[in-house]
Amino acid sequence: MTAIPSYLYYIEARWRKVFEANDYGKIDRIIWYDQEGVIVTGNGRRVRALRYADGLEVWQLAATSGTNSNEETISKSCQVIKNRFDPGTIHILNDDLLWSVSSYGEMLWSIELPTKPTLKSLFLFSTSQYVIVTSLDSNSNKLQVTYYSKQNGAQAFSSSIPWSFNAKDSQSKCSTMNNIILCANNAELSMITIPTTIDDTNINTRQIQFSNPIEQIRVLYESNTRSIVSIKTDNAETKVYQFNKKDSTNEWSYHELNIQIKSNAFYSVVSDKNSGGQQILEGSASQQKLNFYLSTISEQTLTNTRSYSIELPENMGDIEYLSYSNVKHTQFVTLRMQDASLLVIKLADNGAELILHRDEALSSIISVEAFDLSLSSGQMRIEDEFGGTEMFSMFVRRISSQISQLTSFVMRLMNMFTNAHANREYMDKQAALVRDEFNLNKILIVVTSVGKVFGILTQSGGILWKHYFTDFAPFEHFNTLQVPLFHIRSAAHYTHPPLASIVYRDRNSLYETHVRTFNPYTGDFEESLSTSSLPHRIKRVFLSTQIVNDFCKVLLFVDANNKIHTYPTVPLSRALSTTTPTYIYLFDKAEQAFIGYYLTINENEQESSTGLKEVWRVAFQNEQVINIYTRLSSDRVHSAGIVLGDRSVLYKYTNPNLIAVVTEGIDYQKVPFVSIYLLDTVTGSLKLSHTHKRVKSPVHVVLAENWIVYTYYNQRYRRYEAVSSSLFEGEAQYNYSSFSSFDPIEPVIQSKAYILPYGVNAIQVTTTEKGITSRDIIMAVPNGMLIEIPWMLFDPRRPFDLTSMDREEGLIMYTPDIMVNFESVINYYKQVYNIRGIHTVSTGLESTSVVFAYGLDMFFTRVFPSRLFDQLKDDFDFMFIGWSTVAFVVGSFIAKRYAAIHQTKKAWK
Amino acid sequence: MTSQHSTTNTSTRPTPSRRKWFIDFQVRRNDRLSVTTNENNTTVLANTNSTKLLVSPLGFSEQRLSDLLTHEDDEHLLARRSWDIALQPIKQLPMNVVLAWMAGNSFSLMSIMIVVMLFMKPIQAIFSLSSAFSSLQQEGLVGNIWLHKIMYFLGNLTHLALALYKCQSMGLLPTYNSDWIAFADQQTQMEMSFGGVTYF
Repeated sequence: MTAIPSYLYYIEARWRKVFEANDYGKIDRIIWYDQEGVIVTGNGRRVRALRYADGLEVWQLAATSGTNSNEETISKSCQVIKNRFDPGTIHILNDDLLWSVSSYGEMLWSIELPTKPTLKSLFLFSTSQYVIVTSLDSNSNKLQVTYYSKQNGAQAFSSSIPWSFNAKDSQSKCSTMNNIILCANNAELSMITIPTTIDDTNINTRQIQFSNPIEQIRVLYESNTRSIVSIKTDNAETKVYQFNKKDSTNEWSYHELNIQIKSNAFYSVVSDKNSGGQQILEGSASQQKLNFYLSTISEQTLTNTRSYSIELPENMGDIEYLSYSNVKHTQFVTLRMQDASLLVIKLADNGAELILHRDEALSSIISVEAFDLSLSSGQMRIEDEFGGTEMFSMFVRRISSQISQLTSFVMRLMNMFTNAHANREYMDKQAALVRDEFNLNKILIVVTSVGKVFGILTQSGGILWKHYFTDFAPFEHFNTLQVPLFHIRSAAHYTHPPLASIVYRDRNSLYETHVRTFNPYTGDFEESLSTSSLPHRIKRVFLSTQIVNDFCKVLLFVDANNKIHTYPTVPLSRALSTTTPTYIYLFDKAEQAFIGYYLTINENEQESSTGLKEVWRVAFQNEQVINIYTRLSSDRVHSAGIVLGDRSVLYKYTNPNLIAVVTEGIDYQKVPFVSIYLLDTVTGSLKLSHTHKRVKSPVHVVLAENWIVYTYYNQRYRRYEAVSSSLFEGEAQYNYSSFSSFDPIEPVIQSKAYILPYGVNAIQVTTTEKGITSRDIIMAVPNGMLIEIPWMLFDPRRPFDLTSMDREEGLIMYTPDIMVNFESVINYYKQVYNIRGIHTVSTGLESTSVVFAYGLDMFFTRVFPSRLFDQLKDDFDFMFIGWSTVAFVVGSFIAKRYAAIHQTKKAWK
Repeated sequence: MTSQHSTTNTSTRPTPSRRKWFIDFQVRRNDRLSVTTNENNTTVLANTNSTKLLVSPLGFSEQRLSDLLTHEDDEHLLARRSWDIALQPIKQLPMNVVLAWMAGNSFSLMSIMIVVMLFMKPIQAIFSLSSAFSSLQQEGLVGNIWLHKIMYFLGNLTHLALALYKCQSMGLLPTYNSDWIAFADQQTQMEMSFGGVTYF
């Protein structure tokens, strides 16, 4: 069955609710009621109910925080259950807190559990009278079972049973079902039945033996009398067991269901209201195809099996989650695929039908690069026209290109007259891929954390192509994910298409590294520049400075033995400039040290691996490096200095080798602090160091030209602050023609701190082609705004008392608050949330920089930091200018005539 | 009857005349046309038909005699007139200084116009240096006036200096480093560095 767009089920997002970006917004569990869903977030600390109809938050409850508010101890585990005998009550357990909430928004009770480092709460059960918490006492290796009253939370009873797993295994290998704990112990499944009443004290333990070690236990369905569990063993075999409660006893009987065994199948079970039995849906993905088997469970076997299959529009990998629902006799399957696609498939008698496909991967972008669009054929011909060197050939080129321009113009005119609207759409699509006059439109290549790469056109936001890498795993960059994405060949060489490369790890074996090179316009692979596995384990990858073959740059890899390799293999002397010495710095996480190496390039060497020689080392003690920032590769510095009010020059210290290092730690007085360093990566010297006490990360840093702006949260004053520092050489320049990190320049640092009106999610600076335009800081704030703030407001030279000299220079008087004008919100009311990064690209117009913000949402716009100085305004009156020019020309002719007549008359007098 | 009196400077020093030429319609009895006989035969022939030509008496001179020696007077006048012209720019200088001072150092239409005028006038004057002294020649005063020309030139240079000073005080002259900073090339990088955090 092919997927036909369905107009019967037109699906669009009706409402959306964005939760907090931090831990409090992390969803633990959703309990679906008829009208509203109860959502537990923040490790069981916040509960809210959203109405399905309009997305209104009906109520919200927050757990009264336990005694120790230190966030380090909050464990990442949280148990939420709906009481089995009273569906309107929800019990929530996190490490030290047990509380009950009713479905209409009332907090019934909350109790603090005893916190001991050895005691760890594991599972939560419910009966009609009790809430049962089992916690592991790692001292005595016993599982404590504590009964709390369902009405008021009073502790009623406690018992303990021997327990053989440690806390971590208990969480990963065990799951609960009704009042049974199922634990996988190698090839053995243990069933531990917890008694539900105080009278019944015998804890029942039974084992089921398997032939292979158990990998995963998944509870597919549970009701008071019946449960269905799938058990996956490590030979990729899945067994489905049905558990039935024996009448009037606490005993459970089980038997295996006879299912068709598929290695990568997923199951979903719903109860069929008509028959009272259960339906089981088995789904599996193979290549671009999804297969479903829907059966009714009757006692031992599956009956009434129907099969469906559907061809997917693209490769989406395996199924990650599957849920089957039967709404008013319409059967829907909701799937989340490995590439984070959300699929809704309708199963009908005439086959399966794809009714919704959303690329949710776009909310997990980790790398962005913008590519210029290709030149139009006319522009290419102009490039050709001036390509020759010989006089005669240049002349011939010129004539031929002009003739071809003329013919193409005539052809276009002919085409316009003959078939005006025939191929409009196709033409528009072609036109969208051609560079516009000012190079304002780009193509964005975005890499997402799941391994899906998209090509997005900026003028429409439309996805041009997408590709899912099934073996993808990103690299880690401190606490974030990162995928190196490079311009191998830029769009400047119009005879060759541009190329982009991504480097990623293998999903299964993290030692394998893949390089994939593709054309950013089409997504087609360049097989000659792609490799499935590099023969060495890589520490770091970067791009060569020199163009090697076919206008392509090569990738340079530092391997585990500190040897440099190139891919594709070329001599290093061709990949890197031999006249400029090259230094390489690497940050070692284990040592918390930056190590600088000198790279010796041997001109005669044909082998591409070369050793590194350590030249410096900067180690951090008692503080932990949390991130490093470099300046943008497109950063341009236009002027070498700042003109002061008395017309002298303050020269900028523009060291291209500086990086910003952010560290965090706790000092001897137990005060947390954050430090910022500017490290010269050639010499290893620190050019700036700031330490802020009682300050919390996240620290966002922008490093550009000769300045740095960073933001942090001030815990003492409970506000977000920004610090701006500039580095200057002084009144005289050490060397006006070249810059070396070894020059004995002690930069003069000027700094100012400012108070920000909002928190900061991401921060970036605008980029323009030549760097003449003044800079703006683009800031994404938690309430969904993107704010453009002139860097002038962050200028560390803003004076306390404004003298006439400062006024001459155009400085603004220092005020600690950065006032944000609502006009400077560049996304107006199109709010974008949880922005993780901002990418700025220069355009062909010096005044214009384009901004792409990504996170949960994406936003793209153009900004004009110095207004439109090289462009006419939109409301420029061309008609008025045109007509007044015509009027002046005509008027001058008339006036000339009159003047001649007048002259003659005067002569006759 | 026509009669032409042409002033010729070739042979003798001519009497200073206010007219280059004139037509005399008066018919005189003793018309002195005899002098032109050998030059203009047609007129002579025409005249002979109507009137009887008389020969000038002895001692008659065509030149009107002046009763003073003009030569020394010319020298004196030349000196006075040429010094007048030569010192004219210097005399104008104080006025221009006042004008420049009045214009102020701020940029406005007036001050820009005055600066332009301060530049234009002396440059024009220098280029039209010979024509400034040509009125002397018209008056027939000829002499050695190179010193005066130099003086005139120097005087105009003072005007130019004033204009430059005005520009300087208005900040229009590129005399500071800051005026040349836009033309400075980017510094070349002596070292390259790459790197970052290790992936494992």
